[in-house]
Amino acid sequence: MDLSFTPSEREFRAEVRAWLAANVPPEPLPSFDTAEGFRRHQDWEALLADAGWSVITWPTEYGGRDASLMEWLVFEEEYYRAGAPARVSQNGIFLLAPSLLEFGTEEQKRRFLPPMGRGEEIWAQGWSEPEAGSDLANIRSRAERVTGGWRLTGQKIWSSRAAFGHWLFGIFRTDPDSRRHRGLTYFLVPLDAPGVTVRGIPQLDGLPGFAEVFFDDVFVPDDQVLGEVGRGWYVAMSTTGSERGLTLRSPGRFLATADRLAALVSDLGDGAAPTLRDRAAQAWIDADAYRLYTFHTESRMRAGAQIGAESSANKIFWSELDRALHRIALDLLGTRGTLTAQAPDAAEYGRWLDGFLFALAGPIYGGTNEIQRNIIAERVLGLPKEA
Amino acid sequence: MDFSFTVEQHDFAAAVAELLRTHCTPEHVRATKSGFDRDRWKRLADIGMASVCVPEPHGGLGGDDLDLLLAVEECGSAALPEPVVESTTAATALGAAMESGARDGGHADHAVLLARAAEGDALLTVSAPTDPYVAAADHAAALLLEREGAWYVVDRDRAALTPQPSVDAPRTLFTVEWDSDGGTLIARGEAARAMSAAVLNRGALLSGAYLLGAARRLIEMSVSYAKDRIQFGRPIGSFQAVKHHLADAFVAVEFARPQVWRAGYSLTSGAATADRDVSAAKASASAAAERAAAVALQVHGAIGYTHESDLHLWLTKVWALSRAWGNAEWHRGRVASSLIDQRLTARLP
Ligand SMILES: Cc1cc2nc3c(=O)[nH]c(=O)nc-3n(C[C@H](O)[C@H](O)[C@H](O)COP(=O)(O)OP(=O)(O)OC[C@H]3O[C@@H](n4cnc5c(N)ncnc54)[C@H](O)[C@@H]3O)c2cc1C
Repeated sequence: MDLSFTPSEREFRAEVRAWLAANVPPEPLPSFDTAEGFRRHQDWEALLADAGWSVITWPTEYGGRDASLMEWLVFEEEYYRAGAPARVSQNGIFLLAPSLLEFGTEEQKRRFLPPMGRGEEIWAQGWSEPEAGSDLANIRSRAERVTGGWRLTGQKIWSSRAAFGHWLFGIFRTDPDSRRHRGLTYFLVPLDAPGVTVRGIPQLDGLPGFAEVFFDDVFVPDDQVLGEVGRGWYVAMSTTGSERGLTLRSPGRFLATADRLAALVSDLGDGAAPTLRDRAAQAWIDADAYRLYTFHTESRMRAGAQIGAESSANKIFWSELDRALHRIALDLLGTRGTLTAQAPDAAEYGRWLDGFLFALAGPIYGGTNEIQRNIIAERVLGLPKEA
Repeated sequence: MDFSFTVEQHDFAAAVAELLRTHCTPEHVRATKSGFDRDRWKRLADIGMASVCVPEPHGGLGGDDLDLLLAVEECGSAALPEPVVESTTAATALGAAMESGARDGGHADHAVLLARAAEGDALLTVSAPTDPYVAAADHAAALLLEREGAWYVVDRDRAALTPQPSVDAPRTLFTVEWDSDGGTLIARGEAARAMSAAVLNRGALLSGAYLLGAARRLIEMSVSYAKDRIQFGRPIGSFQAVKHHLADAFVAVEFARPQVWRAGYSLTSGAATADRDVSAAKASASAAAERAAAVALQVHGAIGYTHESDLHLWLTKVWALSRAWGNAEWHRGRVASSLIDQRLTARLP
């Protein structure tokens, strides 16, 4: 066991830190769930990409640096510590890209990865439907075979970034006689294709962070199918592993929040009740535990282990941690914690409210935490399925 | 960054686990009414359990905490009655005191004592700076005790022991009275302060490792019970409430484990954050084990609430060790003072 960083990891960290210090915008950007904020976040992605920092784990030929998982974890620690902007491209770079790299044709990789990595094309995930939430296999949106491609019909919902985004990756039923997980196919669909209607849905903060997307006989050519026809579930599950596991929510994010929370308690001095001090310490300890668990996982992966259903443990842990961190901050701030960033008194505290609202979604998206507990119980602990 | 243990460390833990499978079954644990089985302790010592952290010149293996963590987790998984936490902590502290030369006489006696402890022929115990009682004092040949900022080795025969029976009966607890001239000074001043810190950290670390094992076993027992026990015509493990309880306990234990390992690494490598790292570990391990114990009892229903089921052998261990060497709140307090009062947040290089 050697829990120190290697000289090359330290060097890498220093390089990341220096670049961020020189480039992170001093003022937070407007939310990417507004038209202007979306554009500004795209500009930030372009800046990151120009310097080679947007998608460091990708192969160099598509705009990455072939960075190791450990380098990526280091990058993320620095990224969040520096208070850098949220990643408007996250659905594409963290969820679609791993599947594209694994299942995509060479043409698809060349066509889609570079603009994704540069933030020029922002992707939305189109899995959920009105009747397919936790029960994702209940997908009804369908695709019919036509010459040269497919025609898509149906509705997707809760699709993050779709309100202002450009492309959608989604699963549709290609075999009308199929049920559940079979007969589904993974499609890549431009949101400006004829027959696509996008309607933004305001989230708890009032902004259209997700959208419903209607498909009315939308033509999609064959080269926009990812993986084999009928194997969409399989391709999609490779992405879900990323979403629940390491890549969507790295420890750096929670570490930075936990450190900010500790600083908030320090700043409040005697204004922080002892119980809140205790809760803050607990949450910080948990952020620390998440970080160590991730490093441990990284060591196991380097030794050749595959991560399976344990990624569900990860998802429960980070989502509950994030919610706890923000809840404690709001409790510390009292009524001031309920002020939006626009309120004159909110000062820098408005970010906690935004973060709180965002954190509340963590136990829901990516498969709810109840579903994750079912997975752990059945696939890790080996308990019998429900009757 | 490499979170893996060496092959030797794994092998040692496997050997301990193997030995305990034969010599520390629930029947054996129940039969160990006094809390100490000399034969079993000797067997454990024969494979190195009592000597890992004793310096080589004193008959030990000269290892460190990382060499022990996996093995101590196995002890917890077996609900080993012998005081592996206290004896290891005491032997390590005495060894360190002798190595650093921070001793005032009695050296020869202590060398013999330490060598016998490493062989498993004599037991050492130590008072935890956080606790009013000394564990396993009745089985010990000598006690490491702190008084007014100095540490002493006290012969058991020269101390008056008042038993304080506790919920974990095999882990015998005592109030200890002794005359200062009955003890031999081994550290004072700065050295004694360092010894107090090291003793507390090591006791907390090792009890954390033990708790991980106990918690793991409680979950395993509950999972297997939940598969067998039929109610409403189906195994209770198919009910979601039961599943979710067990999943939560599992998550808590899985996330506490790397934190315990990191604490071992920090102690071994003398990290500046060692106190805080140990406290984070003990807070997480105590909380995870308490959770596993509560879930295990709930999943077992009434049978778990008896002495007929084996469950209580682990429950009582968790109740005792999650509080010994500083409970979760105490350790969170120590994390808080580092984080909040001293503003030592950043962990990045
Ligand atoms: C902020 C946010 C962003 C999102 N982004 C996207 C996106 O980009 N793309 C996308 O496709 N989807 C997205 N989603 C949707 C998300 O994946 C679903 O909300 C989620 O899968 C749950 O589905 P549902 O909302 O229909 O809830 P339901 O499935 O109706 O669940 C409601 C409640 O019932 C519980 N429940 C359901 N089934 C079970 C069961 N078997 N056992 C126990 N409890 C159960 C759930 O845990 C939950 O508590 C997003 C959601 C949120 C909140």
